[in-house]
Parts: sequence; structure tokens; C-alpha cells
Amino acid sequence: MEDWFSEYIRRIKREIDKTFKEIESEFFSPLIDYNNKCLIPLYDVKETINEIIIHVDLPNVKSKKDIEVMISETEVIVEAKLVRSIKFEDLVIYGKQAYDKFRLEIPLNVPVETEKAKAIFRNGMLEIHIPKKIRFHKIEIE
Amino acid sequence: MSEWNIITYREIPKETIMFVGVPDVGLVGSIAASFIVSSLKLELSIGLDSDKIPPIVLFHKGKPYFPVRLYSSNKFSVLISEIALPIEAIYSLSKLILDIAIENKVKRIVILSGVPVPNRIEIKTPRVFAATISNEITEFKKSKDIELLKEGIIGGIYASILKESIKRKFPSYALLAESHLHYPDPGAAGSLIEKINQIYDTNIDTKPLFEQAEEIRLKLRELMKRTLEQLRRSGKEYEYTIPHLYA
Repeated sequence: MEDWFSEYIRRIKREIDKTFKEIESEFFSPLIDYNNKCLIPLYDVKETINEIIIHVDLPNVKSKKDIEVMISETEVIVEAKLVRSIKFEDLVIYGKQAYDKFRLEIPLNVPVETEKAKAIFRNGMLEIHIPKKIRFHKIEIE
Repeated sequence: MSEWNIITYREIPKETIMFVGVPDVGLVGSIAASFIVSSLKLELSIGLDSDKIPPIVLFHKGKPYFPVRLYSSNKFSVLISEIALPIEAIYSLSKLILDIAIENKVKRIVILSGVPVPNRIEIKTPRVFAATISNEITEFKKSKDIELLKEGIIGGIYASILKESIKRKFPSYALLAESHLHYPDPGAAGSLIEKINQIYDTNIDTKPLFEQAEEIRLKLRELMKRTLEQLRRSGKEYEYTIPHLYA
């Protein structure tokens, strides 16, 4: 078999293994980052023609001053301090420690304009608007 | 032969109003149903088990529980589920709920759920809609604020219960509060309970529910995540479809 083809197959196999490991890890993990004492919030991502809109549910976060949003060309990171730390008494899977913040990393799959992103926090919900680099322009139909 | 086993702890009183609240959009029905159980101090009547649901036993305060259970008092019964119900379980469970209702002379099945709206974040007090299978069901009109759901599609287990009710001519209806789709929504559950208070004189104090709202949202993240995984396969996507009849 040609070398390039064997390498190609090996690369695909590595990618498949990696994807399965990621799925497995997400499927069986609670929404916590145990080592960093963080909770992982619920979120959803919508994509319009010109922007990416992310909603993050941040219960027990009181003010926008307690939230940090960082955006790179490939990722959005949200960190938010809880108004008071929370322990999940008797729930073994959460351990005995207290959790005092949310942390979320969301990969971006399109190039974005990081400087033009905006965020608003209301009623415990963070809404982030990130313009895409590739913009669509309306053309006139002759 | 039924696909479900019934484990009886206490006889279900006859002629109750039966509320059904299982994981669905915004977990509205689950939150409302659990709050009714604790507020009215209902007692565990039966546990339900099937090979159509994941093999799960729930432990609470050191005691084991079946994930799908029915609680009751002399006036009310409430069916709850701790797990998002897989599509394989929906049809047989709907039939079983109707069997239980008929056998115990239940007066009404009242389904509790949410109707996802895109601008939920801007809504302070969610509206509540009633979806009835018969014009003879009128008690929801005791609350002036409830609107009749005139157009739209209901999907998932609640659709299955309503269809089974139509087949058996059983008086069932759904109370649906405007809600989030992706996030636990105790505010929408509170709106439902306030309407239930008006319709059935339950006099449930919703203040503790609103006070615990943020903690509920925080603690139900995992259940919400699993529920969304199940909803993707249960016909819920049709709720965003304009019916052909409407066109």
C-alpha cells in the first residue's frame, strides 16, 4: 500500500478516536470542572448570516461586573462569579468541595471580528453577539 | 401484556384531578409538578418501571425511588419523572397513564408544560395557554388570563397523552406557559401554578418557588441537557412548524 494512503487512513482513525473520546467525555461528565472548582453553564449558539449569537444561562450571578467574556478568533471563554459558593451536599459525583464560579469554553468555527463583539446581561442570561468576518452584501437584481 | 410494571405503595384515591409533569421544554412541567407534590404534601402511591426506560434507581435521603412515580392526596394526583423519557417509552407510558386514570376514575388529566418563545428573556410574567381535546372542558376559563391555544402543534409525550385521551374520549387538557426551550424555567412553572390556584383553588404559595428560582436553574442543568437530547427525537421539532391547516 502506498505510504501516503496508509498515513491518510491512520490520520482518519486518529480523528475518529478523538471524536469518540470527546463524545464519551461529554456524555458521561457532569456539568462541572472539578479541578478548577467551576460549574459549566448551559448555553446555546445561533448563527445568522452576519453574526454568531450565544446565550449563556448564569443563575446566581448578580451583576455584569462578576462576568468576564474573552473572545479570540477560534474561541469564546466566559467566566462568572457566583453570588455565593455552592456545595452539592451528599451528591458524591460533585465531591465535597464548594463551587464558586461558572466557566465555559465555546469553539468558533468561522472567522470573527473579535473587537466588534458585544454582550448584554439581563435576568441571569448573558447574550453575546459576535460579527462574522465574512459578511454578506445585498446586490441589486437587474 | 403491558410493558410497564406498577409498584404500589399506597392506593390511589378515586376521582382525583391528575397533573402530569415530565421533563420537556424548559422543564416547566417537571418543576411545577414537583412543587405541587411538596406544597400539597402528596404521598407516594406508585412507582412505574419498564424496559423501555434506562435502568436507573434514584436515591433521596437514603431511600430508593423509581424514576417515574405517581403521588396522590384525596383531591389530586401528580405523575412525575426524574428522567427525560425516551421515544421508545412514550406510547406505552401514555397508554398506561390513561389506564390508571380510567381505573381510578380520575376526573381530569391536566398536562403541565411550556411553549418555547424566542423572546422569553423579555417576558416578566409568562402567559398560559390551554390546549383542550373537547369543548366540554371549560374549567380553565375560571382564570381570565388563560388563552385557548388555537393554532400550532404539540409534540412529544404530551401529544401522545392527548391522542390517547381522544381515542378513549377521556377529558384531558394541557396548560402551557411561555418558556425557555434550552434552560430550566421556574418562572414559567410559577405562572402555571398560579393558574392552577385559580382553577382548582389549591392555594399553593408560589413565593418559595420564585425565591429558589436561581438555585433550581443551577441544579437542573444536567437534567435539562439530557432532556434536550431526548426531545430531538420525540417530535418536538414539529412545534416550530406552521401546520398545513393554517396555510
